[in-house]
Amino acid sequence: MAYLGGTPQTDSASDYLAFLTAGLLDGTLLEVRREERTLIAGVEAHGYSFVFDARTLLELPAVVQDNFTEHFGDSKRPLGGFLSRLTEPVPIACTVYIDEDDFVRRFAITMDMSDFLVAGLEDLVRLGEIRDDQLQYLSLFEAYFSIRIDIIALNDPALVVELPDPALVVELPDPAQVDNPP
Amino acid sequence: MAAVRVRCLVRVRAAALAVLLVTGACGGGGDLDEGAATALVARVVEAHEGVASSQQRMYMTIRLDVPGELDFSGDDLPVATIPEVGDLAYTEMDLAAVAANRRGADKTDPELANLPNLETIFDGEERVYLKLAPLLAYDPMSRQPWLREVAREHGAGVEAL
Repeated sequence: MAYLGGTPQTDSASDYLAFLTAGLLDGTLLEVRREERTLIAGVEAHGYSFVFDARTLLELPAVVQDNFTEHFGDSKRPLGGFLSRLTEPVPIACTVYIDEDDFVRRFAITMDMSDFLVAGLEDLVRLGEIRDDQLQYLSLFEAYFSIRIDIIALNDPALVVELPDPALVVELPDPAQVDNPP
Repeated sequence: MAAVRVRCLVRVRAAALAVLLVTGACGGGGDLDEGAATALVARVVEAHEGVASSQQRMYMTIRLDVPGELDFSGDDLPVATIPEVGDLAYTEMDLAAVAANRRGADKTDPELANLPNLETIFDGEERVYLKLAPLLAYDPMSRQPWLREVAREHGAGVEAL
């Protein structure tokens, strides 16, 4: 879901949509609730919150698995092996606010990554990439992360996107062509 | 050539979030009625079909506590602005601002200020560009040899570093 706060070049909207439309497994959705109305850039909006269990990433559709593996993993090892050893839910909270004209005005995602990271580090101990005493130290890490995106203007004729001086710009390579040159 | 799979950021985000609403309803989400959610989704998708331009602002909250190290923390830090007009979108992420705003940071520490800004331009469905000027301003070259090469190829003034 990181693409929502990232770039379309590095993330895959279609994969994300495939994940959502593939349906949720039992236990994936921990909580759903309505939020109180709030003002976002002067516009009133009502909100909905969803809390997912990140451990269900184990059961992502194949297309999303492939995408994760391509960017972060070793294709010889199945994604998320360490997640199966987490005994408690790892909540990811998503909130969306919609205004009276049905425009999305805010999206937020929040995750406490501490248990997530420690489980991954335990995998590295098993692989011999870090020592057990290092794990004892690293397992004291605490990591909390949240991103909020507010849409502060819509259909504003004054908005412009200025192209920079071409001399200061490089075109980014297509990752697919880097991995599989023609 | 980068194949950008997203035509309009706001529109796709709206579609994704709309699906989220339905899945929430279908998952037995409390007072979220499935029929009402489905109707809302249809309206959201239709509304966003008419979006020709938008301005988005991104904020980040981070708390990274490493024993024996300075906490890396900040609440609701503004990290990016994304104007989007038609097929053209521009993202500027200010990582230096995040470092400078973190709790307990020595704001005069030049190492903190050395984090680069990142600017990317999405032009339609075909091209993605990285703007080098802000990177040069923050002098990341000593740690990024590949960027030095790219800058040299494009005459971005690396010799001035």
